[in-house]
Amino acid sequence: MPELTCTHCGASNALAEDQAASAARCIRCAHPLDAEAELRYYIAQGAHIQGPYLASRVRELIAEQQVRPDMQFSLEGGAWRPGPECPELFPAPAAEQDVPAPPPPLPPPLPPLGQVPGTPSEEPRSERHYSTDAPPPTPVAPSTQLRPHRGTLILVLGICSLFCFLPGIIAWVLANEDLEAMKSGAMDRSGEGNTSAGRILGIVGIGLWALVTVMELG
Amino acid sequence: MSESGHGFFGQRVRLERISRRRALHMGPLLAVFVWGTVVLYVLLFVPDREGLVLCSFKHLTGVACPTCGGLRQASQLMEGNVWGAFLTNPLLLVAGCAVLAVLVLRLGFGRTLHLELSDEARRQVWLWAGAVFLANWLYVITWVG
Repeated sequence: MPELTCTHCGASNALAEDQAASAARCIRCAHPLDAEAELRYYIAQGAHIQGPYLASRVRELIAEQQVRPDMQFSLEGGAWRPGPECPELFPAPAAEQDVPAPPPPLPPPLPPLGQVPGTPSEEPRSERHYSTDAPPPTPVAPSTQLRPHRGTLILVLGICSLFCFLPGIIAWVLANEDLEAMKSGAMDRSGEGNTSAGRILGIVGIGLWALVTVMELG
Repeated sequence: MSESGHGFFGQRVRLERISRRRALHMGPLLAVFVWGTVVLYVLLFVPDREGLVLCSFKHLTGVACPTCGGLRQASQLMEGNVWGAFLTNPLLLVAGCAVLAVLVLRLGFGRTLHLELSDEARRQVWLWAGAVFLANWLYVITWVG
């Protein structure tokens, strides 16, 4: 029976023979055992819970000061932890690790997560109301934070490229970017087929243009 | 990373920083380079360009495609006749300038522009874009050929 050590909490996980490591999660902290998989976090501020967000996105929000250490964080299916207990998100500076810092003054009440201060509240995207004492929900539906795909547009451009040069270039560039975004989990993957098909058609269209040009000039 | 300083949910326009690796698309860039080289070659070394058709759509159907007139447009631009180039295929010139601006933004400044539109605004944009596209195509077929 293969054993995998969780890179997040160090727990040893026994896997069944037919269980793929890519789909398995740690029994203690629910961290994906596949090192390639990126973590997804729920973020709670009071009773407001949003997410899941990719870890890279959370770090961006921390850098933009939209997410603070006084909020609660939970990996999918894992326990809630305050920011200081998430060193993967809030790495402590080396000089401050041994000396406990005095508690900072409480910040003023924040607007709901994601709301721009001074602007009217927008329709919440994936806001849920749960108690942070309770375990977070097990998300199964795709996150509404994912960017919508442009598969249909890219497919249409790919088809047009069979007749013109320019749409092929646009289809190729857009498809490259969208396929990368889908791979990183930032875009809805349901359009992956159309995006790939549009990309291939775009390349074929450019090839056709090259053929016509060679025949015309030759 | 967002550059505009507002929250990332409610923004309509975002200027996002991208890596060099993401900004460069070697395949499409190579294709554009080859296309530019061919156009330059034709403009410089092919004196009789009247019967030259580099469009597979026109070869197949006999009708100009929405991007037809590019060669004539490039020729006009080389002669410094911007208005003449615009009249050859207006949308192609505008789109070309937009693509050039995006390229400069991406490759020169490492930024990319994201437009976040509501469903209604997106529908309106598509309707107008489609109407302009068809009007331009009709103009190209009728007046440019």
